Amino acid sequence: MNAAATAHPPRPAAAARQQMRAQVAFVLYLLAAAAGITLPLVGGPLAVDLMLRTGSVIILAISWNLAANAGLISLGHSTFWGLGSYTALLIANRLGLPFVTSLIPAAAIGALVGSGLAVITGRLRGIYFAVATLALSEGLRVVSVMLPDLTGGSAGLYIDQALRPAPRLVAVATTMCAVMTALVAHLLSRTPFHYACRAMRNNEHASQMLGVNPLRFRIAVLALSGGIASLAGGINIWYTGFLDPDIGFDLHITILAQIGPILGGIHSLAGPIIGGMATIVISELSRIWLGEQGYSLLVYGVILVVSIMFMPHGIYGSLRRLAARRPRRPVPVRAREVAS
Amino acid sequence: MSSFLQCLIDSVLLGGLYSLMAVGLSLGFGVTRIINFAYGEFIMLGAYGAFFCSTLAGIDPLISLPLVMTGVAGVSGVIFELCLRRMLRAPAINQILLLFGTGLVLQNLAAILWTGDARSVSTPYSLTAEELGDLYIPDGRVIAFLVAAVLIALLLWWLRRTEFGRATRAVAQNRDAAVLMGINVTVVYLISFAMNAALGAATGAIASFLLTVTPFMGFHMLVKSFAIVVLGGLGSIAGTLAGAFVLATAETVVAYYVPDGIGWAEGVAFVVLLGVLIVRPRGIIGQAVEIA
Amino acid sequence: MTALLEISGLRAGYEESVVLEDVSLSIGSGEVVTLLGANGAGKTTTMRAITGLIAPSGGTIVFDGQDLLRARPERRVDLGIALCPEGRQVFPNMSVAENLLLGSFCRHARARRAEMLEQVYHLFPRLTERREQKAGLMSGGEQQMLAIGRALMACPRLLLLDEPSLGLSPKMVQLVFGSIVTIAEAGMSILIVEQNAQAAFGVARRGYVLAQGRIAASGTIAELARSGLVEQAFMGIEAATKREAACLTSAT
Repeated sequence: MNAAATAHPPRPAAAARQQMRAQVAFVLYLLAAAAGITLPLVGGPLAVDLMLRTGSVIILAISWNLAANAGLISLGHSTFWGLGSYTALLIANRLGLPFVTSLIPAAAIGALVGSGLAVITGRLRGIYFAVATLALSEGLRVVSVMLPDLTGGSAGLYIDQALRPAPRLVAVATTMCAVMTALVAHLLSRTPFHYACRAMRNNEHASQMLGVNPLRFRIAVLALSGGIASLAGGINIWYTGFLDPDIGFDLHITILAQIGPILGGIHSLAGPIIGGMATIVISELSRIWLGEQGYSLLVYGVILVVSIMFMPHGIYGSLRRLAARRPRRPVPVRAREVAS
Repeated sequence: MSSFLQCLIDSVLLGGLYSLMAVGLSLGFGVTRIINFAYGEFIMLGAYGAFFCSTLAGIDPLISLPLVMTGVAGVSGVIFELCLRRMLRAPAINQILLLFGTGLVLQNLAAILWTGDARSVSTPYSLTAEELGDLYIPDGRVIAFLVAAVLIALLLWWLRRTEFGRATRAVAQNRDAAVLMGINVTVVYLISFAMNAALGAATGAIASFLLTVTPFMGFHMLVKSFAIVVLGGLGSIAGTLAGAFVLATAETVVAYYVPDGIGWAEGVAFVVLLGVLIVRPRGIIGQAVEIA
Repeated sequence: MTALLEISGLRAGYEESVVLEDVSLSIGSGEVVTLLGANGAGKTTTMRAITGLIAPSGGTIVFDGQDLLRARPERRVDLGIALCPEGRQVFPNMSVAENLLLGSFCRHARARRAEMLEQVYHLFPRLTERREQKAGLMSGGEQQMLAIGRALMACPRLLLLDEPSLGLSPKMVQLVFGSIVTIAEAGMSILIVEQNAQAAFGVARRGYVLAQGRIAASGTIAELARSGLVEQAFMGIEAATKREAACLTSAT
């Protein structure tokens, strides 16, 4: 068997499929961007509200998913959201900075706290990280109540009305951010970063042997995840106009961040997006049929439980499995086959 | 001087309650290695159980205690059988999120069924106190302390002196070896989970005459229990007890000596938790922390 | 004579890898049989299949006429199979006494607990001295004695020993195996899995050699020792691996 015979030509089917997927993705992003700009500008208040909420949930979902992909389960994502909201609010009120400018420090704080969290939880097990995020969100809530001079305490604060942009613009900003966030996540998934995260998720020890420095990656992942979520929170305050500790650090937000990825499918890009949109649909339906806020949280809880138990790969993951109809377990490759 | 003594007394009494609260969580984790993120809701169910027994049937919480504990343990057993049993070998993330979701369901069911209004149980002893000179010792707290002490003593006796208790400890220390002894590990898990719920329910029942009862009270207590368990060391009951008293003392001291202390005291748990994670993750007594 | 334990065509493994391809062996009542093999040959896998810690994908395991394949691990202890696992696996934070008490957890053993305790302490005087000591703090040899004693507390009819010589000094090995001989002389049926063929030859009368997931050789100890089959099986693995490696390098 000479060298020439063993050189394999690139398999045409796989390469073509890759290209097509990239093209489809490109088109989807364009469509999403177009919809994200036009719908809020031409639609009524309901459309604006829906676009804004959908955008926010998608951003949160992608943010949560980023961390979950690296094995870091955040049970206190409202931490970042609340921090972003309060930062944007205070920057606006105290410094008079407008909408877009206020978002920069908001995202920055989220990234900073995310990095800090990564450093603190160091290389401890995922449980400690989950518990730490829980404690952080509760703790920040207490802090915001206890510092009324800064945060307005339990009474809350209104954002400076003079600086508020039209809700349509805020909605556009949200959807644009959602598209960009998805793009960023998409691009990241094509880099070694993605594989590093997978390695970390499965076994941090082993990933070190692959040359991945877990601590640096944890910091990167959490800074990104935190920054994105804070950005979403920062944008949102400009829409709602009022903030208090219970709103900013609400458990509801943490749940929203998780439901998307779990329902849609963790460990994929489309999963959180599909799940995020499904969440809004469910939320609207439950509001129409069942009324009160309490029901929607109940529904979310049931979804969480049912999804985990019966559909751990989420909607998207299950669909992918059905479509591919691949054997569940990879067939072990024996040494002989490689050589022939 | 008397303010110092008062602070001490309050710390100790609070420590007793916190011990009971955290021991349940600690036991559950020590045996099953699953952190019960729905634990707060078992506390809440216990509180509502005591509340309803009191308002509907006029039964004092101390008397309805066994009933409430059994009832909530039963609920937890159902949850275990329906949801957890198939997830025992699942990745931690799934277990965490499953229990988190379960807690969410329970919270909101409670809110829908019983509204979010704050309730509490008033008993003869929840309002009276002993006065020794300058010291003020609320009867309710003393009784809570005694109940906690009795329950924890019973738990320790069960763990050390009974066949099944020993089996439980075996599973906690070496699960595979326990299987070889002929111990049915799944049953041990179930019983531990139920006991975890029962102890939480007891905490709730006591809380019903000390604090206000709302559907969302559990979350807050879950965070505190975590702080205690992490402080004392995951998997160590002695550590949990130590941690409970440390946290109780820290909160009381802050409440007394820091301006606006009562509000800040609620945040102490969070500071303690993060502090422990930074400085000494294995806690006061606990086992070496597994680096994943 | 029907065997106490009869395994035929056993096929088992973990996740995606098959460790045991086709294993057949039998142990008669009162016999001491050894299963030898190099590291990774599948000895512990066999033990785990017998005790029910893993479910085989093929073959049968029959104990005293009862098909074990669907029996849960607890049931097998009840039936009379006790394993002293590889690496001892004592309960580290419990005392020697408590470890032994746990050994007799199953119902039929509980009734005879006091009697068995006395026997175990008699067999291992060192354990008597260290009755209240935490098991995790004992030396390897003492832990091995404890693990064996703990298995005996279950009043087994078949005692499984997984690498009792592992990590022990030669003197300790002698001591431990001396006790094993005593247990055997009392009429216990024993299956010893070992890498240390010499130690195993000292107590067993029959043996099997496990290599690459199959029984490569079997017979009385005298036959095995004479034939050189043991060494070949151990070395044979190396030779086969070398051949495969040579194949790969020449093809690429």
